[in-house]
Amino acid sequence: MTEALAPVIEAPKKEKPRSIKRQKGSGSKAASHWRVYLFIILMLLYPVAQFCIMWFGVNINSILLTFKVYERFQLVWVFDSAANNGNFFETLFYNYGELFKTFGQTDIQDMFASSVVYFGLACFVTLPIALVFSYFVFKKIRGAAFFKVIFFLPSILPLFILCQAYSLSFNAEGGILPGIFQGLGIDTGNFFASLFIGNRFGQSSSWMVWIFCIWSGIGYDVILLTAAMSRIPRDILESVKMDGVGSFKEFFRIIIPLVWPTITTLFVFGMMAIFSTTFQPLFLTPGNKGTETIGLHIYNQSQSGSGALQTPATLGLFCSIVVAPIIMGVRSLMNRCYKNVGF
Amino acid sequence: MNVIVALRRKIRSKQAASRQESYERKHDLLFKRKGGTEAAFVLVFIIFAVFAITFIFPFLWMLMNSFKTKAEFARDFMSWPTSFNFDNFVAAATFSNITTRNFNVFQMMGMSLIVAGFGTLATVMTSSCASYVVAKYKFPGRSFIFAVVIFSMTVPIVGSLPSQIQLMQGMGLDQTVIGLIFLYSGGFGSNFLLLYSFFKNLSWTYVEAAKIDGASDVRIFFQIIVPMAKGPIIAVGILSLIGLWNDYFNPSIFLKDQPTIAYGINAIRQTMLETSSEYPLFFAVVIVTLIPILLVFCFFSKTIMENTAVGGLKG
Repeated sequence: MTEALAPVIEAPKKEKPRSIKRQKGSGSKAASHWRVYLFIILMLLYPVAQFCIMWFGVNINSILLTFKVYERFQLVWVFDSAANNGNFFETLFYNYGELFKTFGQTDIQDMFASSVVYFGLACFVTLPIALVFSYFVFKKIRGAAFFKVIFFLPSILPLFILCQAYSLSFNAEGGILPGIFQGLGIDTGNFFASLFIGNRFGQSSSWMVWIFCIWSGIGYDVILLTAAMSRIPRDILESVKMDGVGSFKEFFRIIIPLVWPTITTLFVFGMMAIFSTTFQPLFLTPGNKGTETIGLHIYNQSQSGSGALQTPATLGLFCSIVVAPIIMGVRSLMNRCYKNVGF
Repeated sequence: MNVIVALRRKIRSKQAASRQESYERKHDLLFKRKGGTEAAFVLVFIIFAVFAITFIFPFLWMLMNSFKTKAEFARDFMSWPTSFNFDNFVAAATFSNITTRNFNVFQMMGMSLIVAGFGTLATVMTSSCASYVVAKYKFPGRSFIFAVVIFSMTVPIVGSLPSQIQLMQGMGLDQTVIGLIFLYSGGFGSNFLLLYSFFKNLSWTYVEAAKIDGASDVRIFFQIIVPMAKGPIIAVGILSLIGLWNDYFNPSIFLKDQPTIAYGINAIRQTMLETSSEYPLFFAVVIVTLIPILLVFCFFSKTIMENTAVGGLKG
């Protein structure tokens, strides 16, 4: 195996964890046993406490929030509020009822539709393009090292700056593309001025955010996929080459099955884009309701300072309950597609 | 001076890597190609080149225009500047107003350095301690901790932000630097997994020798394990530093009054572009903001790229 194919973190010998129980016995060993326990407790004390507060605490509180309402400038239990109409279930699930009522509103329907589009883009546009790109980088296309760095740029640059670079390129008042067309003597009329305008889902502003997500998302997928491809044992690739297998067949029959775990990971990440796409619409089309996603809606409502935190919490919990099992199911199905060879 | 020498070294190593690649393309069985395959590679090369230009050109264009005056930019935004004066950079460095909470770019960078620096230090320390103990010691609850950590990373939970805001307010940590660092100081994120896999496979021989010599567990951790794990710890540290430096989400909620550069630059944009169309000035701000990130990336590109790849290995 060449150096490039070696794992990034050298893995010497795998050894069993140390068992504290082995040290039980005489007085001195018992003392040592307690010292080890003390050491473990001290090492885990802060991380576990922080995790308990910021994961268990936050998520339990999130569930509890869905049973509260904002009344008289504070959050109170639904049963102690005006929402209590005497019917136990209606009162208990008051926030959920209110949430379901909003589903009929056009802007909420647009929000769901616009969020789901990002799943489609990430899984069925960005990922396949990245897969093809990674194959060529892996096959050492001219300038592969340089292109890898370029592909990596979106991951290290602040999202806001990347969004500005993108939107300013189309800026009618002095952007690159209008400048190029102007230089070529082509009259673009009002085209560039109206690109980031459009208050309904599917109008020009949505398209601009979608293109941005593909443009900036390919790089990260390429880095992960190229790394996965570089770990494929050289012996396999050599035998494939000697058998006279063409590039097309090699890509579909050898490379894809061998990097399937990484594809699965990226597909799952892509599914999570339904919720994780938050700031791209905010930075590119600020104040535009037509591009709002679930993540951005929750962000805007949470930091509005109104105090009515139960509404975004209920929406978030509802989305988690619906989508989390789907994502887990897809992940499980995809893991069964190809046997994990574990090279 | 040292920076220039280091940069030169970096460029030389990149040139060597490029030569190696070129050699492999010509002589290695796996990468030799001819006929139709070569044509496909040329076509994809052109696509890659266009893709690369779309990433680089906007920033070069911003750099070029950052030397212009507002009037010069309005006259022609595609030409070279008539002179390379740094007035915009000086103005960008000192610019502050009520929208930016009276913070200028360097003060915002200072905030970023404090928050991201201490946040990185905290998360690297906590994840090193947690991953080492979970990987190397057998104790009741060890499997439970590991299972919960994996569960928390694989199950997508949406909308915990309102609860997080309420909790931070309840603990009195909202709008405080220490609160943001506390948020960042988690020890069970992706850093944990990366370090866990390293510690899990780490040889125990040196530790056993130290044990025989009477060294305590604390001493073993700090004097043997940490130096051995220097590489992965630095990698995790750099990745965290870049991630926290670029974080917009948390500072925009939990530290609004003391903006970090990732958050504050939005406020600068609002003032410079929306109210007065000061494009060259804003470009200068962007360039100044990018310098620290690009320097870190130049020096640690290999570490960053390799370890990012490791983070997303398995499905």
